[in-house]
Formats: sequence, C-alpha cells, structure tokens
Amino acid sequence: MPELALRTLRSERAAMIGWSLSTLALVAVVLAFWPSIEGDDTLTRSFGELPPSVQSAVGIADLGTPAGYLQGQLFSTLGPLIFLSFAIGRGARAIAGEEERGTMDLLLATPIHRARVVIEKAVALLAGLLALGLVTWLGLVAIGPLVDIDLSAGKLAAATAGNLLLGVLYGGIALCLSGATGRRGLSLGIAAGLAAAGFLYTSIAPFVAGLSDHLGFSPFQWAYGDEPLRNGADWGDFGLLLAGGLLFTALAVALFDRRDVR
Amino acid sequence: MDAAIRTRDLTKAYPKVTALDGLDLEVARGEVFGYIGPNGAGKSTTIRLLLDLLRPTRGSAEILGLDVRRRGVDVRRRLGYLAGELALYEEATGRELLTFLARLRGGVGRAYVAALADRFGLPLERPIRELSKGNKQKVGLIQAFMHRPEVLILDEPTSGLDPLLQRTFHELVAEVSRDGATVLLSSHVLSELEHVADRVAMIRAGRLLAVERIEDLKRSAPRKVAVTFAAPVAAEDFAGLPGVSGVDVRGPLARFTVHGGMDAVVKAVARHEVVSLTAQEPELEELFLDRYDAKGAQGGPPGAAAPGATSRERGADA
Repeated sequence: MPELALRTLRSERAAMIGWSLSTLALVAVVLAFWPSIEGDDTLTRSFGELPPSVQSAVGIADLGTPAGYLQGQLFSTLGPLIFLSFAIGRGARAIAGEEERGTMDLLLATPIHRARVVIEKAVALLAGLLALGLVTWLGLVAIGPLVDIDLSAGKLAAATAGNLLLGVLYGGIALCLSGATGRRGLSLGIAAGLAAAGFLYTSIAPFVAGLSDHLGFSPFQWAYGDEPLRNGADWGDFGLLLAGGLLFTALAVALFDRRDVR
Repeated sequence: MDAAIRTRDLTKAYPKVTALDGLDLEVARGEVFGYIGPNGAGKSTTIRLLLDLLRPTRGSAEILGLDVRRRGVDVRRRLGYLAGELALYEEATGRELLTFLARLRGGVGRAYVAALADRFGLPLERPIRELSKGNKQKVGLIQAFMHRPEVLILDEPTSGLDPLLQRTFHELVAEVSRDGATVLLSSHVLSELEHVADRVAMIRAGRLLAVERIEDLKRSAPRKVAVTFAAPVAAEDFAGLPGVSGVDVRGPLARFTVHGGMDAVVKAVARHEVVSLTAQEPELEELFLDRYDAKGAQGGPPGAAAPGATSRERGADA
C-alpha cells in the first residue's frame, strides 16, 4: 500500500479542498465572461488586425470563438499558472519539506528504501494534479453549456490534460531539485524560474526571427501549441511532457539516495 | 558472535569541521550502552550515520553484522530509533501516526502498541500538535519500541520526560535488555545513564575519549562521607585510614573523602556510637571529565562543541 502517499494526501486535505474550490471558481469566472466577449465584435476585430503569428502566440487568434476564447483566457494563461504553482509547490516540498520538519528521520528509520519515499511523494503529487484536472474539466463540462460553450468533452479533456502535464513536468523538476538538495526555497525558485522562462520563450519566440522555428523545444508549446481544443490531444507532445516528469522523478530517486539527509 | 553495533574508523567530515573523527566502537549484543558527550560532540552524527541518514566520509558501520549502508533496509527492520530532535506529523493523532509507521514497517503487533501507550499514559486520540513535549516524546519512544527491535538506538530518550516517566522508561529498557535486545542511548549528562547503562563511551569534539564500565567508574570514585556520632570524636581516629583524606572533625561531626574500598572506614566508624552516616555518590560526570580532560585536549579544545556537527545538534547547542 502507498502508505506515505496516502499520509501526504491526508496532511494536505484542507489545502487540496482550497485548491479545488479556487480552480473551480476560476473556471466559472472565465466562462461567465464569455457571453459579453462573444457579443463584442469590436474586440475581436481589433485583435484581428494583428499579424497572425502574434495572434496565435498570445492565444487570441480567434477570441470570438469558444475554442479561441478558452485557449487564450484559460489554457495558455491561468490554467498553466494554477497547475504549475500547485505542482512546483508540492514538488519542492516533497522531500525538502519532510527534512525541514524533521520527519524524514522518522520515515527513514523504518525499513523502506529512500526511492520509495520519492516515488510515493511523486504519486501523491500526481494524484493532486489529477484531482485539479478533474475539477477543471468537470467545471468546463458542467458550466460551459450554460454560457453556450459546447465544446466536446474530449477536446476539453485534451486541453486540460495539456495543462496538467505541464504540472507533471515542472513538478518533476521541482521534486528532482528537492531530492537533490533538500532545500525547499531553492527548489521552488529554480523550478518556478524555469517555468517562467519556458512560458516567456513560447510567448516571445514567434516574434523573434531566429527563434520562431524552434518552438518545438518548448514544453508550453507541447502542452497547448497544437490547439487541443480544436485538434484534440497531440499524443506525441503529451508523451514528451509525461516522459520528462518521469525522467526527473527517476533523477530525484538517484540524487536523494546519494546524499545526507538534512 | 557478532557485535550488535560495530564501527570502524567511522568519520564524518564537513568542509569546516570534522563532526566525527575515526570512531571505533563495539557494542556487544544484549548490552545497554551509554553514549555521552556535550551537545555538538558528535553523538547525533554517530547515530545518524548508524541509521544511514548520513553517509560517512570514511570508515564503515555494521549493525547485527550487516553493513548499514548496503543492507540499510534489513538493518532498520530490526532496529528501533528515536531521533534527538524528535519531529512528528503534528496534524495526525498519536494513533494515526503509530498506525502509519507500523504499516510502513509491517508486522507490528497492535496489542503491544496499545500496551506501551497504556504504560506511558499516552492519550492516543489527540492530535499531536496539542500534546506536551513529554507526551510527544512518548510517541517517539513507542514507535521505537513497538516492533520489539533487536537493537534500539535512542538519542536523548529521556528529554522532556518527568522523573516518573523516566523510571517507566528505565524499566522498559531493563525489560527489553533482559529479553536480549541491545540498547544504545545517548545523553549529554552521565547521571541519566548511570542507572541503566552497563558501559558508557564518552565523546568530545568528534573523538572517542574512553569506554568505561559504570561499575568500574563508581568503584574507583572518591566518596564524600559525613558521619554524626553520639559523642565528640578525634580526627586521628580517621586520618590514618587507607584511602582517607581531607578529614574535618567538629565535635561529633566528622567529614572526609574516601578513595577506593570503604571497609576500613566502616570498621573505624563502628567503634563509636553512630547517629547518622551519609556517603555521597560521586558526580560521575566530573569524574569522567577530570580523568579524560588531558586526553580531550589532544582532540580539540575541551568543551568546544564542534559547530555544525549536524543541523539537529546545532539547533540544540546552548
């Protein structure tokens, strides 16, 4: 049984409820603004005068359609923000948090491998992300039709999954740093910095002549570059994000196993 | 038969300080072994090396014949550990925490956990954050004993326990020791260990100074004796006795210090009518320190706590 993952989820029960409610509220607010945007032609027209590459980069290529609106206002802005803050915070705390509290001694005095600690922490993180993903998707599916957004549940799931997988990748990076250093602040800072850099790269690269051809290297591009709300899941890109998360988790296992517990 | 705990040249060096320097220690099976030294001397460093929480710079350690580094999981299955700076999941209740740790271990008898909790008088259903320091310490002790380990490593086990609970703890140590378990306990005061430990090792500034049997220490220790007689006595009655020094007689009251055996003194005293007699137990601490101060000076400044021995010890330093 994943005792430690369960213990971790239990400790974070209250925070998890908070995250879920805020996420749901956010989804509801974004949806609630759709009717006023939809009816406002001047808004869509003024954006329409921008170059197409710019439009797609900031996710407003077609602010006037439900898919374009949700992509721009949720899945390439607030969505990643939520999933990334959640995942990076949890990842950074996973190992270093136990060490800072002093409870790692208690855990590792039992006959378990250090690898199990890392893996169960990763499982707890993934479970939290899945819960947030589920809340997001359910909110969209349940509230969307009320404001005339009737995108298919599958495409909404694909877009949500893209955001969730960003959390998997950067949460994995934070977990890896946490396992390697035992320092929560450091892990949080570096992982958040990397996420910010990735986000900026994806947003800015289309405007820069030399970079626009290299968008394929950006995790954010993998997550929503192919417009999952229109085209569904890009399994190859999603696979890359998941593989990245797993790779960094494996690295966390190796690095945590090598060092002193703080 | 293998030693229960054996270290060879166990060393932990940090960039600025050597927290533990070439420790060679052997604790026999079934022994209750005291490990004393000032805060920051390297006690917790040693213990955390034995738990494989820290990795040695040099040297190795074995518990029950198994290398703690390579066979850590097997070692810890048979090991109970209480951390010096005990930290628990504050939001859980005592029962939840103990159940959680028991599940991580596997094979822990529920009845025994309940019996231990009952014995220490631990309120199991209250969240740990609401417990006093003493009650938290009980949780720590119960989780260390609950799987009936063959080896117990307890870092400052009686800190926060009132005298009555200290006695409960000492009884428990005596019991598991009778059943064959080996117990290593650390303390920064020798007096805490003298009633439970068979032998004590003293460590200072990361170096082992000496390992002594408590009995031997006590036997060789000077005792301050004070006798009140029914009538005034003469100083000469005691001054010439073997091992006696510092005789001070005031009327019927005689005080002196005795080194070694008490036989001659008792016989001399018995020639007079005695109203009361006290022979003060020596302060083992001072004795130990006196004896090994010179040696300690070689290893580093005596009393100078190695700063940063571990983050835990650093926090505990006065």
